[in-house]
Amino acid sequence: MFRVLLLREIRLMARRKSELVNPLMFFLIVAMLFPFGVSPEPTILAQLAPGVIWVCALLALMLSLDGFYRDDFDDGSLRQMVMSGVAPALIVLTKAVANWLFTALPLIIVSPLIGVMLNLHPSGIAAVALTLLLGTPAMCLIAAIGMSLTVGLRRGGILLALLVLPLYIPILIFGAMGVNAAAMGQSYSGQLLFLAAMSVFTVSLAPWAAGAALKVSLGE
Amino acid sequence: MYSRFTITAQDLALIRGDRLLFKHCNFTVSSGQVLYIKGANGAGKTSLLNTLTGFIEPDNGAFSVSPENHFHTWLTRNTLYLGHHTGIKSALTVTENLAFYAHLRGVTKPDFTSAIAAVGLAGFDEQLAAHLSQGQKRRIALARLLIEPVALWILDEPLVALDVDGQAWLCGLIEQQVNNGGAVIVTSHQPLTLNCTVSELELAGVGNV
Amino acid sequence: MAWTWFFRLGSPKWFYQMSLKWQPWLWFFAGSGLGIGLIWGLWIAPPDYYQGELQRIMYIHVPAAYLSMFVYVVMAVSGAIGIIWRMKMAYTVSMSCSPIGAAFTFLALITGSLWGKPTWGTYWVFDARLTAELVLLFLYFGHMALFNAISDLKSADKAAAILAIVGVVNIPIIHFSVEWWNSLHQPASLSKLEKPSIDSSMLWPLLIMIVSFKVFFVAVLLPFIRNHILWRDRDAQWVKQEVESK
Repeated sequence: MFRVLLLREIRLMARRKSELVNPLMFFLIVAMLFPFGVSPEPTILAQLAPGVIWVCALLALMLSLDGFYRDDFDDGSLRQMVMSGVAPALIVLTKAVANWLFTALPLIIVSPLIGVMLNLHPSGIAAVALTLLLGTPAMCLIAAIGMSLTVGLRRGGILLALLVLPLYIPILIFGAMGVNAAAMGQSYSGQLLFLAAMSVFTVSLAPWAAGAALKVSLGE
Repeated sequence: MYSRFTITAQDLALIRGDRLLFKHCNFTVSSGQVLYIKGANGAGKTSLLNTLTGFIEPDNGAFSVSPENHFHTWLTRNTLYLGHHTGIKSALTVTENLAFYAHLRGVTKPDFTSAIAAVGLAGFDEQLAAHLSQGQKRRIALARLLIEPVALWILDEPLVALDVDGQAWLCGLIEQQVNNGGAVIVTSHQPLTLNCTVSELELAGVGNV
Repeated sequence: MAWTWFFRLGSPKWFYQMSLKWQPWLWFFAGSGLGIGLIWGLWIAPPDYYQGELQRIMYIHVPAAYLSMFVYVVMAVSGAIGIIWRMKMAYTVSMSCSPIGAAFTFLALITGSLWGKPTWGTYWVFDARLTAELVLLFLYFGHMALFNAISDLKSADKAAAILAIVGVVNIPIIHFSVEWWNSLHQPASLSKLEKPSIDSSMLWPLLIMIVSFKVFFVAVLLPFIRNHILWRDRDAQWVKQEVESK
């Protein structure tokens, strides 16, 4: 059943390919603002780079979320899926996987580019992609909880940020810290392990919470 | 033919916001019956259906189904619910839309072409639903009734956006479902002309709590 | 008609009337506890060797910080009870907790930054505990905002309860990661309470303050719950009589 749901997401995404690029553009533009706002000085940028990349990725991921839920909620598809006997937790899990595939994965792929742009030390470049690779699954799932809670609300966007961003803090801390450590030439396997643990933990628990939330939102 | 069943709603009450939509609401629906829920706009017809399908918890009362035990497990396996929003994606073709729900239901060898022809969309199989009119989109959803063999249909205002021929066709379909031992719960503002046993449930607004 | 609504209204009504009886006792114990604790802490207990009189802010800051997390746990647990046993009273308790919890968190933040001014030379430093408190404040705000954003009361109850449970699972993780982050960034910053051991002359008033803050919390919580009950059941007969008799 998961396969059927995921195939549908892939097919729907394939029909609006242009939207795939939007989060990427957002990611690049926001990262590009920092040199303007702070300083073009390479050493300063290098210091900011890990945090900037992580915060931008986090925002891009959160803003792209709406596209995965809103349409299906508005046209009744989510309700039809539940009524066809699909567990809400499975629906949410599929959405999170699709969100990861179509938003997070492209971000991970271009993230080294931004690292180079912001003059990140070469030893930190690979760490950017690796930490994002391990941290983004947890972020997608936490976001899925927030989205399931707010999908029924007309202006849920800001509220979603208020609900989800505090929960992102641990992932942000360890992600940026891992990149920092790598840029300074230290080992960052501890941070990677923490991110992996967070992802495993959220994958196993968050779908239940998000599924319950989705059921509540569908009742409105 | 579907195996025999009876759904019973006992002493339901539902409050939404400040309004008591209904109380002491009782009904039964068995195989071979149509339950026609009537009431003015805002009388709580859709809310009652949402309560039945488990999206809203009633403030009082409960549903049961015999001879099964667990109502909601039975319901999700044996119910097709079509409401105001039909769950038809504009970005998918007519067949893709139907195939998705047929897959979820686990229908073996679904015959999409004849179902699509039966709802008057012959030749539109590979068209994107986005290119169809509102009424035609509703017809795609109605084609699911022909593809997914489930015992209970819950139809919320199914006649909306259908032309005269479409309405007559749907009424015929409902009769056929009932004759096959299924059951239909339906709300409608347009009169239904049905040649079978129809029990009526009138939701008269009860006002404040 | 009355019996149909018995299950729905019976329990809040009982709680409303019982809590009115408990209220004076709670005020009495909270008031006297706070009085004793404050006098002991602010005048009798000796000043700190390093920080002098300044350290006395601890008698407010530490209990408030403890309570800010304790209230969140109460909120999440009662939310979970509401979901599992479909108990309306539990949701009422859960929703009454969040403004109080936010207030205690705010108090902990204010006292923390006042304490920080002379110690760090600035009102705000991204110190581990203060930052964790700030995150907690946002969690409370999110909880209240979500509840207020959903118009249907029953949906709002459940959604807020789910959020509280998600939050309570995350709070330890946030705390742990913020502490770790902080220890790497600011190894030199002065740690406020981590002395070898706290002297018993300071420990006793602190303990009294912590306990009486908890009693004070319950004493404040009950009126909040009663308000919520009156608002939720505003159309019930007994609420109308209750309001008219006042």
